[in-house]
Amino acid sequence: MWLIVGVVLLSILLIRLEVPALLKKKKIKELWLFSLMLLGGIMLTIAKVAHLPIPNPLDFITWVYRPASDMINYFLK
Amino acid sequence: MNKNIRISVRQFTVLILLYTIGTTILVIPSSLAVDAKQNAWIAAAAGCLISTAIVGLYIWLGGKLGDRTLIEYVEYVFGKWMSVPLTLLFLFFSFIGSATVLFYIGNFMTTQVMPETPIESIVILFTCIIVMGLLAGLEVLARAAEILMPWFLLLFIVSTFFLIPEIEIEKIQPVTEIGLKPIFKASLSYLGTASLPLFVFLMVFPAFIHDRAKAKKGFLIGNLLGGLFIIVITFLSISILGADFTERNLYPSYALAKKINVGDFIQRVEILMAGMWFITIFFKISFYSYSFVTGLAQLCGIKEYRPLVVPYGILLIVYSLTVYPDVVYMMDFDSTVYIPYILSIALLLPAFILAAGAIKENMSK
Repeated sequence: MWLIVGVVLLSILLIRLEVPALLKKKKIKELWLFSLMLLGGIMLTIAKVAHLPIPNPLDFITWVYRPASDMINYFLK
Repeated sequence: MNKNIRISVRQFTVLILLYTIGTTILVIPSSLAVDAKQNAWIAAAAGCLISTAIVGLYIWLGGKLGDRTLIEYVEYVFGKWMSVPLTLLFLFFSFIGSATVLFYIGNFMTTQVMPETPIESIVILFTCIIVMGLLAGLEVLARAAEILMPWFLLLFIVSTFFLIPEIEIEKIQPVTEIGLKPIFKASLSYLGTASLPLFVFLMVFPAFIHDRAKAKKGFLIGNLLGGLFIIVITFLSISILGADFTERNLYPSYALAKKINVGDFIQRVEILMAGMWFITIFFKISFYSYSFVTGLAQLCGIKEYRPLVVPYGILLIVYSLTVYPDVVYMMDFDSTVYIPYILSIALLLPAFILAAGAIKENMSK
């Protein structure tokens, strides 16, 4: 719970610090990427704290590379 | 990208050295001993030799980059749209790298040093200094490496010196019992942990270095010296703990430092080993993260990466707690799937980029 509060507070502070400067310099791309990453971060934190399943990239790597790794193990045994 | 940033060759060499040692020093004796048993130190030496060829490949590719970073070069060779999947592969690799390494330090701290502390607090604290380092920028990171290097050396020399009386040479015998295949397999896991991750340095080398000709030498020397440290640690682990214990222990060099006992007075100084690990792993995560954040910025055509650093830190915390559900998953992943994965990303991908670059050069002639 405290993690969500912390992340939300940090985000508010961050938006307060970064967004006016980015808007002033008309850095729209930066603003988009910044907001997307921040939103993703907040959502993932909430999902993590609520124990919702988060897609694990290593499962994907395992799915792709398992045959290759089995082959290496077979040849080097 | 700001092209005025420059780091010196010495700083670069030190960075390579610390980056090679980070994570490797604490975990590699164990994964080497699984395959090569008492010859683990030979496997480390073999890995160190092979890594010279890999660094040679990176230097070769680096020579083609000129003023560009890796991602700008990929965009130049493959065009704007074709380069996107390759860049995404690279970014994925560096993100996974930093998240897994961050889990390593969290797991180490909570299982070995501070068992009552939740892993989240360690991961969050460590991310805070990573974020600080990234906000401060490349030059500051390089200077920090230069300042921390003597401390690292001091810790290393002190702990090695105290361990010398404990060596039992019969533990590394018989030398010829283990065949070549297990040694080769073990040296693959050495390469995967120590040398192939150096790929991310193509985001720094050679664009941001003062003297590019000397930097090539620095790259090689840093890698070889780092390898030397690892050979020494592996040798000590095998000859003091024995192959069997090294293999079963998740952090053998930490267990090794617990053996230090000088006149029943200097004892339990294993935190020296942990200190070396903090220093080196900080640079490992920092450079994985640096290449991710700057790479993402360059992919999206953004000049300044700093606004992305703190949101990245939040993502990093969540993912470092997600990538490895448990230690069994971690050990299985690191010893099996990780090896072909890193070989394809950090060996085949640069070779592919190099070949495509050569074809493009020939076509434009």
